[in-house]
Amino acid sequence: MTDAERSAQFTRLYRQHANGIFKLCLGYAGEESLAQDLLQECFVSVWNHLHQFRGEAQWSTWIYRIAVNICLGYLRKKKLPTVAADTVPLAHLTEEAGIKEQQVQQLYKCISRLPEADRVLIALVLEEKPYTEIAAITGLSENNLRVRIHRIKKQLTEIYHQDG
Amino acid sequence: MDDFNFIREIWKSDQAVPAAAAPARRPTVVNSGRKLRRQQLRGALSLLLTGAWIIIMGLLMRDILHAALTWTGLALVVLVCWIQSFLHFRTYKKLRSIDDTSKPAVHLSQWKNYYAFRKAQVRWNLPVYFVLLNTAMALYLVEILSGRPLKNILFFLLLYVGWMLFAYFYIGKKNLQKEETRISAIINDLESIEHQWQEE
Repeated sequence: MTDAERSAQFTRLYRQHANGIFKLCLGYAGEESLAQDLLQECFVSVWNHLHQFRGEAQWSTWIYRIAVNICLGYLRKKKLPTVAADTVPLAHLTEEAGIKEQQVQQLYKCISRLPEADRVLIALVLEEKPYTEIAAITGLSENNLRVRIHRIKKQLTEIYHQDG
Repeated sequence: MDDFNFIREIWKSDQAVPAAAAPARRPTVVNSGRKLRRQQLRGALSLLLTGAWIIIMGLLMRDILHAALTWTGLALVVLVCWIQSFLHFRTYKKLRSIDDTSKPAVHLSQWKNYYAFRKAQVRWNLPVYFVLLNTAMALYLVEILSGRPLKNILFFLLLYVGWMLFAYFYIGKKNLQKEETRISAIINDLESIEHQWQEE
């Protein structure tokens, strides 16, 4: 891969996946500035490993696996803060947009209360990744995923309603 | 719409968009592999250059320094610097071998191995470094201090030994304990996540 091809491929990957990965990071970290940093770390790693991609998995699987590893690695620094739902200024939003934004913040707060591995898994489910791809990203078996995701969905729904 | 679909709709409605450009502030993810690698590489290079600088200084002072003991001392200081440099470089290589593209369970265990290696390394490295460096300094100082007034020698030795003992037994031990606690906490965190990652 030439430098120009590498650069073009990187830009393509960023355009396609940055939003989804940012949401995964936000779900994991529960805080926008941290999610931004995790995203940056993730794409630095993507750039560094781009030449190693052998096409054995889809680009999306490969890049999400890097993101999952970067997120799980963040815990080595410190425990993640849980996010208060009212930390985002909502005054500038219309009432409807404000309610939506509040729900989104509430959701991130609830996700941040799950164990680390579950945060990652539920973010992938919410991103509508198929089970086969989640299995490829995480290295877990599909059967195990089904059981686990069923439990996480239930847990998240309960937390969301308790907090709501 | 069931409860989880409602949550999914909220997730989809989130228009969170990452900043287009890299953030201007310094990243807060300070413990990233990238930063750790940079620290180790910087340490390796600076110690390599320190050793080279000591050799140059020694050569410039070759008319003043005559005793074989002094040269042995200088050579030992250079050796200590280069051994430390090698250790930094080895740590850097270990960090580089951690693969962000591997399966999360493998990735977590690679980090755990790295921290186990660091924990063992910090335990023996400080005492060995301290003993070797001070032996080298003692050899070097024999010629430098000889022929000087006794009270000056005693004053210098008191200051030097006092500082070294303080640095080793207070600062060094405190830092070592802090580092060991930090690494143990990290290993515990990794084990906890590893446990979460195991098949249910």
